[in-house]
Amino acid sequence: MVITMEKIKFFDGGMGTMLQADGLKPGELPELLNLTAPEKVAKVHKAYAEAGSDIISTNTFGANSLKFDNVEEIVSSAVSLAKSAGKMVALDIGPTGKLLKPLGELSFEDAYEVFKKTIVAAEDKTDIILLETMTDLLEIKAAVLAAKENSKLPVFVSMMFDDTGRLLTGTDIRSAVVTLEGLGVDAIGMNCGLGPEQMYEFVRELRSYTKLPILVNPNAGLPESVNGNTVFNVDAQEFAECMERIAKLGVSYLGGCCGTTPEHIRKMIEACGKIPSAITQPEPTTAVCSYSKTVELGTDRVIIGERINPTGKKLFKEALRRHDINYIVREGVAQKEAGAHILDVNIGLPEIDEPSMMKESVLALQSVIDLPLQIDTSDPIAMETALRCYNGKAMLNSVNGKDEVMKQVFPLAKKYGAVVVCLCLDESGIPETADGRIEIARKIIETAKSYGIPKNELVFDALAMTVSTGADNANQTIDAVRRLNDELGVKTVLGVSNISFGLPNRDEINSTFFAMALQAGLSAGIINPMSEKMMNIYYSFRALKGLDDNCGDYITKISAKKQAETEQPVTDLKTAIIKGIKNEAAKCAEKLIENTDSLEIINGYIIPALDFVGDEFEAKRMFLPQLLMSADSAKAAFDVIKARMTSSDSSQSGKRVILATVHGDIHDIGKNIVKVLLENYGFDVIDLGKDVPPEKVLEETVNSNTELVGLSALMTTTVPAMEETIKLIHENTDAKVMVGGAVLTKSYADMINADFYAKDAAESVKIAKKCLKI
Amino acid sequence: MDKAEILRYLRTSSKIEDENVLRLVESCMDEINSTVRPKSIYRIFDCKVTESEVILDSAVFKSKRLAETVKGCNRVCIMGATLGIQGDRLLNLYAETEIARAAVMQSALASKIEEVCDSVEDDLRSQGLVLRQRYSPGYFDLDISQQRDIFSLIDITKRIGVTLTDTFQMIPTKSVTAIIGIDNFE
Repeated sequence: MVITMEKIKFFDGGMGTMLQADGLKPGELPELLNLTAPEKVAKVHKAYAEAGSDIISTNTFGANSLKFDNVEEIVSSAVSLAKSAGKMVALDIGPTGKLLKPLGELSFEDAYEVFKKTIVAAEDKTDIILLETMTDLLEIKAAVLAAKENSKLPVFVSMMFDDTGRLLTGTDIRSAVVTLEGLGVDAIGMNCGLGPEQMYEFVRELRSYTKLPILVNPNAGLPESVNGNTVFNVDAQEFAECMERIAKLGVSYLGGCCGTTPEHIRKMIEACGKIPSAITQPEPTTAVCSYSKTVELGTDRVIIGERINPTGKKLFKEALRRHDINYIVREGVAQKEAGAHILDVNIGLPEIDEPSMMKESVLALQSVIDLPLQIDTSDPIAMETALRCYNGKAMLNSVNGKDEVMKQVFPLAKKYGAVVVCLCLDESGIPETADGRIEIARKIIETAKSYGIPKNELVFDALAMTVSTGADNANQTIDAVRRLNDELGVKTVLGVSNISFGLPNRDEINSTFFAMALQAGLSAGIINPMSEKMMNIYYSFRALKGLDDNCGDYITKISAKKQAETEQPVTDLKTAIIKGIKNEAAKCAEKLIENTDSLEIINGYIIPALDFVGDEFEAKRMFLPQLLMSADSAKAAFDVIKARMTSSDSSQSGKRVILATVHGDIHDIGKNIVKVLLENYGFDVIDLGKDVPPEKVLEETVNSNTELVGLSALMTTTVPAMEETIKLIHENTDAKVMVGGAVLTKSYADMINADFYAKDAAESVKIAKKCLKI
Repeated sequence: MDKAEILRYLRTSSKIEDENVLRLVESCMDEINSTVRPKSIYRIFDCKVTESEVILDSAVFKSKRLAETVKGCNRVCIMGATLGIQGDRLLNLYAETEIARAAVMQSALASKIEEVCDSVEDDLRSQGLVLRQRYSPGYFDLDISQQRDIFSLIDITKRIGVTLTDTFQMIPTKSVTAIIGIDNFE
């Protein structure tokens, strides 16, 4: 359906390239001209106004507090200059210029503050806030929240896509739409990077996904280097012709970016002025996304991995208490490899600070995994903390029919954008019958509506009750799933494994029940994707249901598994580790542990193998990749053993070592290698990560009473930070410090008063053994 | 990417016959080629070269070694190249799950970014330019802080998404900036 509104509104064209034509040199900051040469800026505004632009953008693209000390002054002058043209004005805001954590150095909160300062400085004197040339979805989220929480103006978001239709940080058009519609922005579009010709297909794609008004501000073609200068070669006539084609796709705002001039804008308005503005209403979908991947709950069925959850898992609980985020990340990676589409994240444990742990987990997971996450908590603060920093649109687990809970959860879902899992229970508990659960579902749908949340943003969990306590339990759940689908037209989700609680061989019941639920129309199963049985059911169902073209997934996934299964270990554990064959090492360990004590496996097989490899490495008969493949293999064997250890065994942790890459340094591969080797030798490693301030290293050293600290630095510029950290530790503790890294030498290490210099990772193990007397 | 070069970065003999290692190197190269999207930009500037400085209209690079490298050139190319944030994602992922792959990936990415820089040079040469050696901030006496000048001269953050930390490290980490002298004859 196409809705037609009045006429298209026209933005202005390039500012930077106009100022450059007027004498601004490469490297000079155009925003300064608002103060030093306001007449030049006003001249450009006026020229665009005369060319027919309806909306003039302020000359504030880079006017942020990371680049300027006097943001208020610059912004306020820029707003006045733009207003003097006598048209509507957009407060123009570009990216901060820094990359956000977890991959970059700027925290989400700091990015928010940077945007807030610029927005507050404009005092809502403009008509629109225009975020433009944005390239990082998380940064956009910080900016949108800063705008919405500090201004009443409409927020337009314009992104710079590359020639593959992605942002520089990897976000595709669909995921951008899903996220930004969730955040409630007022218009969405693209600018810069490409010319109108290259944007055409991307605008068409954008139109197919979004119900929002679209804005398109292309460059005057692709930048070309001619005689050393960057030029844009699409002239006003050609620009206008391309823009006319784009206008007919159904847009609301058109303008230009780099290289466009008042002449481009004038010709464009001549060509497009009579084309009506249009928006469309695509079918509502139930979709969540990460920064680069959208998962839709629809015809095809979805696997939500349930493994990131401490309930009933000893090692997981211990990892949470130890603050071992890497453990959580590894659980996530394993589930992704096993075929999960979305990962549930539940880190609830009474004794931990859930909001901060949830945030850390979300950031860490998103730094390596591109699957959407399902934030699973009942703590509203943890919920909001996670939703705020989540890069994309999350699934939220969960709300239910209790008034109190709906009052807490729905405002968060509305504000941040989330698909909400709705449990069919209320103040009186879980109704026994499907009827009762459907009734609660109806109430939840009505209440959500009053918060402005349509039913396609809800997924319903009909709740599985263990069949061991009621013969009709499974029937009622399946019936409810079917009716939620047919009668209420909503998507469904189910925590499948509850059905078998209290029964032996739970996988058998679970998988059969999963098949029944899928047949009843279940959209997504919250299951253990590591369970072969469950995944076999899933792939078989999709093949039978006609959801798997040529049974392609069925054939590749299931036959690959069968092949891996039939392979038996062909060597012994020691050989597997020395040769660095990871799977083989795990299999050997599985076999050994059946009748060998875990300590004996460690001391009789793993450590001797590691020692052998270490010696060969030192003698230069083996090389770094081989040393590390052995380390990975030993780790795989350890994982098998750890999973079998009783809690008393595993609490015998080894001697502790703190590792950190120093403040200002973001290259941490060396530190990560040292960590794996130390862990293999039984050291209990506290990994503080990269870019760690000296005070933080000291604090952790004191708190954990650790005797050895390892520091790494890659660049000469960060060695002073290393020196400072060493000084702080020596002044306040008796701990020893070992250092390593590309720029360090023995004499350099001595100069900054390090106690030990590790020339390579193998050396660091020797130092740790010597220093901690093992 | 060059397998021998990757092995050299790993301080591993290029004659190594361990099939597991060779397979790992190849598999990293494949993963990079199928997931990483390199980007690059360059601009050419007029310059004046003295004994110890390379002087541009809006920046001065202070380095005797650089001045020597581009001695006699009236123009320099300033370039930037990056493998994008996907390179960092790969390193983060394998640091958690498979440290051998992380180390090999690190070297393979280094080889890949060299390849991207080389292709920028090839592009320049195909325009008939004769180039001097590529020279980056941090080499010898060209202070790393001059990254800042390079960043603003070629607008690298906006154009290809490379950012600079307060300690002058680039993120995405697999990024390179360089100054290349252009000989006056063509």
